[in-house]
Amino acid sequence: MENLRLIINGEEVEALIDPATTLQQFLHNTLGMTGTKEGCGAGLCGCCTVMVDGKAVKSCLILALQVGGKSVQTIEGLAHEDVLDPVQSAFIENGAIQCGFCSPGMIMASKALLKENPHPVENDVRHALSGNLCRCTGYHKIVKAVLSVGERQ
Amino acid sequence: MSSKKEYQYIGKSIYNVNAIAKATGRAKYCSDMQLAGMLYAKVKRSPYPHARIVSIDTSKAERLPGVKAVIIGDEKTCPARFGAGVADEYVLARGKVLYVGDPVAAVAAESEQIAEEAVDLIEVEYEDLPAIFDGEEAFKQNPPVVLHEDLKRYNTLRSVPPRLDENRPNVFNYFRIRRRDVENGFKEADLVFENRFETAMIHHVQMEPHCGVAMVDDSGRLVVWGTSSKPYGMHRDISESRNLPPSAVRVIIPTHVGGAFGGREPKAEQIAASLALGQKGYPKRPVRMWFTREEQLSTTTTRAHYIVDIKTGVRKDGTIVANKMRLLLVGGAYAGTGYLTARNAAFGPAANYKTDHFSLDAYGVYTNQRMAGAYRGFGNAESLWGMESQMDIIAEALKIDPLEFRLKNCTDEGDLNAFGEKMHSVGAKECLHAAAKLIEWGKKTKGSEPHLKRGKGIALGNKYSIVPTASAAIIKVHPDGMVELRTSTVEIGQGSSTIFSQMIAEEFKIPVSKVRVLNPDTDITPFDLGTASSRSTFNMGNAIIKASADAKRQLFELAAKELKANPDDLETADSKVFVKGSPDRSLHIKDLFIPMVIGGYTLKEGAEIIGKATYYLPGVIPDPETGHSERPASFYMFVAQAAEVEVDVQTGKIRVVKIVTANDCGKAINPMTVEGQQEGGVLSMGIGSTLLEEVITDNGVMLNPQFADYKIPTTLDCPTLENYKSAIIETAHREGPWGAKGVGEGTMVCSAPAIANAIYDAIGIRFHEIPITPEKVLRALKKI
Amino acid sequence: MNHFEYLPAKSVNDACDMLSNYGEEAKVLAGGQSLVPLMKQGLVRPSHIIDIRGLSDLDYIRYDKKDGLRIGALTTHRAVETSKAIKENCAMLAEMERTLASVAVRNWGTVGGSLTHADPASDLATTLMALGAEVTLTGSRGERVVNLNDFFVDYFETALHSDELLTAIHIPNSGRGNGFYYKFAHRATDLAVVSVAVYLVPAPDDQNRCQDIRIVMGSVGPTSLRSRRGEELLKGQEITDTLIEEAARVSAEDAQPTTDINGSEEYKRELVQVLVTRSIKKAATRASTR
Repeated sequence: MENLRLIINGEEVEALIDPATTLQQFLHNTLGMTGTKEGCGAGLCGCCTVMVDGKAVKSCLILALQVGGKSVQTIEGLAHEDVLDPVQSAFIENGAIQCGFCSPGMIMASKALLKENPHPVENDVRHALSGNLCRCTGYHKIVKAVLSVGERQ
Repeated sequence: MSSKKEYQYIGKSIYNVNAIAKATGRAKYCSDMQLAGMLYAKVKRSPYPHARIVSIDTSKAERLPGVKAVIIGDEKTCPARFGAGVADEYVLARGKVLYVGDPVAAVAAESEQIAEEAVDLIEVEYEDLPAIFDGEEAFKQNPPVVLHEDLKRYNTLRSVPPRLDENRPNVFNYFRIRRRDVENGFKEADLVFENRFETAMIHHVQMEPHCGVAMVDDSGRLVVWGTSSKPYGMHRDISESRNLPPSAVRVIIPTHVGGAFGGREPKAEQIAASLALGQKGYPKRPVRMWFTREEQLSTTTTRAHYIVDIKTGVRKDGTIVANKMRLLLVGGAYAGTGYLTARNAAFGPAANYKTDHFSLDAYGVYTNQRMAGAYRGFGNAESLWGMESQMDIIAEALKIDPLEFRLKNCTDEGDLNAFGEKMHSVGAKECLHAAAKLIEWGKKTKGSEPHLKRGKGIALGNKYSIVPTASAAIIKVHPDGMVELRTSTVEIGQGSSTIFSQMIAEEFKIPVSKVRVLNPDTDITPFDLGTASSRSTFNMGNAIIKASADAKRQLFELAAKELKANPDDLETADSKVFVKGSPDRSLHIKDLFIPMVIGGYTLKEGAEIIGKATYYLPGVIPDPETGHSERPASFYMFVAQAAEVEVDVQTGKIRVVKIVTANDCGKAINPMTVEGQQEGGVLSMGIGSTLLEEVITDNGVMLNPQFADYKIPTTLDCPTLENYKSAIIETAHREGPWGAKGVGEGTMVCSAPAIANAIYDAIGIRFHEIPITPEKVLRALKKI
Repeated sequence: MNHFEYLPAKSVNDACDMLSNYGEEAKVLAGGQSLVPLMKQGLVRPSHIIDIRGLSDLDYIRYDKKDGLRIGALTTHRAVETSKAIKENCAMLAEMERTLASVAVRNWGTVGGSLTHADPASDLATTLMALGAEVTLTGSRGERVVNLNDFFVDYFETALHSDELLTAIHIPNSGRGNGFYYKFAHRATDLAVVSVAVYLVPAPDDQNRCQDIRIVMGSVGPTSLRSRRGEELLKGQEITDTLIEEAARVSAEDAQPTTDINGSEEYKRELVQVLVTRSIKKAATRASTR
């Protein structure tokens, strides 16, 4: 067991963990933060996407111990109390959520894009989200939602 | 019922009522459930496609610390077979394994890691048997391998029984249509075309892999949560397979499920249930069986490899005179709902065009593969792949524009289809015109380089919805005016909870936020046939209207006494009841309830305001010899799609430049959710199934059970926003709630032929099989 | 994943010492984007994991007009993709990075990790070989510099000794010519079915004459392959369509593709021919317009 200290959604978290624990497993299973999901376990579907120090990463491919001392943001940390993040609102208003299983990862990847590129064009959005798979929406309304946030900002 | 009328909530793009939970990560799916003391399950699966189980030794696994249950396919765990139409399956294989991945044993342990170790410690001795994968081989009268020797003795579903074939021991269902005289029709015809078309096996790829959580409650009752779309079907499977009375089982489907697309056969749930029951002594701890992505892709039900033979006779003027088809669903080792898919793939071809003479034989056969059949479109995308490719071949030979050819022959209101049914609510022509307009049919475009060839294609499709069908709804009016809906429709992302909320909002004239939709729970929510066949809007919608009327009747009877009015003169809106025309003579719903001294509110009589209703539509089961029926389906959703492709003739790469769809849904209760269905159907499954997806196997083993190699479209594989267009066509159905029918499956039943017809226009190559890969293009162009 | 002892390295020397100590039992962890999937599938079961990701002095990008481009092994793919210095002086490298998996993977995966993983489909390996790159290998016994042509030995096998770390990449004279990376994959995020990287240096007095050229084929052999015969045909010659086609033809002959679920051997050879043709033309156009 190794000690892990990091910041999650602005709060200090400390835990003793088995090194063979991915960041996704730590968040979902150990901490019960079920928004970050395992969709494939191989870093291919993006359902596990979180931000580490502001950058999108596949948390199922990262050992939790590697983010010691870093700041992790998950889907649970986007909204402030009941005030939704603009990306969340845009997804809802544009009908970009159907079954919702891919949505947390998709929203985090979108948020990460907008941090780096506040006014993306369609191709930028598609490139940023190419690692997030969705089976329900065909991505159409997702792309629209992200572009709308860029336009409003 | 006019679909042009303006309503307050119906026809509005209300935001999805579950969207906030999903957007914030608060939504809990079955695979997120963490019950105290929960155990984790892993499955021991057959590495052979066909083998006799000689022996199983679980002793080492049982001794591993942390293991709480080990089960095998024996009389105790799996006493009875179950199945949607023919009971051919045990929860775990007994005696024989029939496909690679067939579960032989299962373990529940303190952690997934321990469960995996335990699975490795289970020793199984097999006697390898010859296996069969080829559909035509399996279909033979004397096939080299027979999967179910006792098929004739299995129990079958009484209401829509499968029809076996005396002479073909691997056939698990047979359906036929005989309308007039097809051989004479071919003689009458000027030209006859005969072709074979095939579709590769593909997977639904629901983003949440299949999951089941089961526990035994303190009264000894089995409670099972799952990702199934048919809670009552799952309920029946679980109780029948254990010889349990139905009331001994409770099935709950969480509020949030990560997709279905027709593919949620409840295997994970069944295994979890057996492991919950299979623990020695007490407590019997909850068990979670969550399939890995690899397990989901390699062992759960698929859309079958389908073989479609079609022979069409036409007159020189372009009239279709005769159609003869043989459909072969190459099924898996167990029929599952594939038994019905094999039969119902007939509907699409039967209803697309007016045809004097129509003959069809549809079969489903067993092979040593995992279950195949039910998938969005239920066989109709496959059968129409054949028909709509054929139509373009014919149009070209007759030198008639493919759009004009379809407009000339497609069914219309009042036409008789091949069942002899008089068609009602047929949007075929409108859909064709809309799709043609959106793709700019007739306008040619050019690729930017000489090796980039462009073309356009169009196709027409339809998807029926099943009969017999029943949906029940219970509506409770709470003292605070909140209206609660109890149904067993599963919210799989299609937006059912949202549109039901809109329907109730419309009926009770309250905001959508004052409506609550419960998740399916067989203890609380009444029967529904299942979230399948695009049936929920129509059937549950009608049940909701009826149940609302029942609830309002009780409400008005109670209020009439207080308001000293006639119940028939009362109305409700904003949680108030008032006299029509005299809004000052009103009361709030809470005024009907009396606050009691210990707490809570009660009615003086009648317990609660609970409206209930069943919407039952038996239809008419087709005649077994002719297929004749006046009502073989509840309704048909029509669709036309058109595509523009660009083919790189040096690499073979196919790019969908533009794709459009026009879907006839009767009435869009929520246009935004209808668009969502169109987009997902076309862009993910339409493009995926035509150009990218294929379950690749070697001796029954899937070679590509992960996202790297089983390729569904990413954001970069879909056309840009500008290059995808859709239209909603509303041809009201007289029996539909506010004229509505459905939309879910119609969204991709003709995507493949639309794309393939465009490829033909671009490079002059007719593909008879999907997926159409770049290598196949180069081979067809004789480059390799 | 199996249980393992987690050993964060304090320095390169520390990491090398631990590698000497544990040998085959240990694996080096950088970004883990290649290693973690293997561990999760149980294909690799190290008893010790030496985590070098914290060695921030291996995370750098330096460009010098004379010396060329130097990239630290722990630089992320994303940093390479977005680096101004690289976009301006070695555009091919930044463009290639854009085709590699997806943004989230590139944010954590490192160039060193990619090269030592030695997947024959590696976009980075193919491109760096075309750029004439060399790598610094640091071990307990000292440092050595190895040209990439000699670094890749076989499928997932490199010339790295068991006690060595790959610490740096050097692309000499990266500003003289120009190049193009062409990746053919079924989907944009997939591994290449076939890829080709061409780096062309025009003659100083004649932009249409090829002074030097490197043609590298990816995913069609146990490692990225140089098309030596193709290169010889073009070196010193006028770049004509006929010559390009001939170079493409011999490249396809010399490729060593195998049939798999992504395509048959014949199809891949055909793709090599098409991709080499297109890449040389593109590289030549770019080189002549600099």
